[in-house]
Amino acid sequence: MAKVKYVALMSAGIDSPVAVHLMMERGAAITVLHFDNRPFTDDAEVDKARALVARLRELHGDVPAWLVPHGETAQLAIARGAPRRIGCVLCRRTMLRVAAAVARREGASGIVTGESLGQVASQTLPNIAVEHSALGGLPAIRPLIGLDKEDIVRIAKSIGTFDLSIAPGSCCTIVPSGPSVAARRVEIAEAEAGLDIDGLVEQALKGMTKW
Amino acid sequence: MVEFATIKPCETSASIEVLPKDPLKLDLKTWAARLGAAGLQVVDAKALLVVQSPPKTTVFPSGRMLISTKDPVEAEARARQLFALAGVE
Repeated sequence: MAKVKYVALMSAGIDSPVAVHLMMERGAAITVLHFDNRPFTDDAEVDKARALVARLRELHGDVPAWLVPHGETAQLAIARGAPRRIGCVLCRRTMLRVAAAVARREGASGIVTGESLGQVASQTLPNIAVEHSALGGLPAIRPLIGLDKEDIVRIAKSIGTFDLSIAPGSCCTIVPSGPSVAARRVEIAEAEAGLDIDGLVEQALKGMTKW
Repeated sequence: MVEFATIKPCETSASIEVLPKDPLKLDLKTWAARLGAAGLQVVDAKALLVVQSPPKTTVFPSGRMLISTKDPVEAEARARQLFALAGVE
């Protein structure tokens, strides 16, 4: 029987590699997207993500993976053209739109994310709802949604991704000091109306490089 | 003269944070122009500047800087260099 295909958003952090692993362990075929947030992060984050993909390949064999331009395109446009407090929600929505476009192209059935409820500002229930409305009806699979951080760390250690994820790196510098924890759809729509969202998604799709 | 404190934000950070001891309000547009005129490669993201020329440095309006180095002495020297180039001693 053919495996069900998904597209996963994978950072260089602890959670999303665990989400990818859990889905692959259950027989899913996953295409990994790592969004390149430079210049708002550094080269180490890309190197860490690449090492995490290598570890997932050791565990699961073939794991197609792509590096997607995001910092110099979408993040910069959002930083310059949208209210800062909703920047993280707009950033996530753009990544999800790109993931949905890749999923359509590859015939994938859904998007896998490493969200864990309430862990960071973009992962409150209102923000998750607003972010995932950008998927255009494609289902989002969140294997970690109800897990405690300690549970996620335990799995990450057991599969050998934890030490890779906590290697020195730079967090995203564009995260505001007071990010919105409950972005309203109307303010998101207004902000996106001032941005060329389709053009940013197109730039990401054109600039993707395979790992 | 601006006085600084240097901090390592967390165990896994690849950067040193440099904070002016007294809060500042930098005009980032002017900073971007002056640093660019001095030959540095600068990305102006409005809410912050990223100075790409090494060591990579993120400049916030409060004067806080994140500098890609593990050496606090190099970080403080970088902060002083940028303040001088921007015309703030």
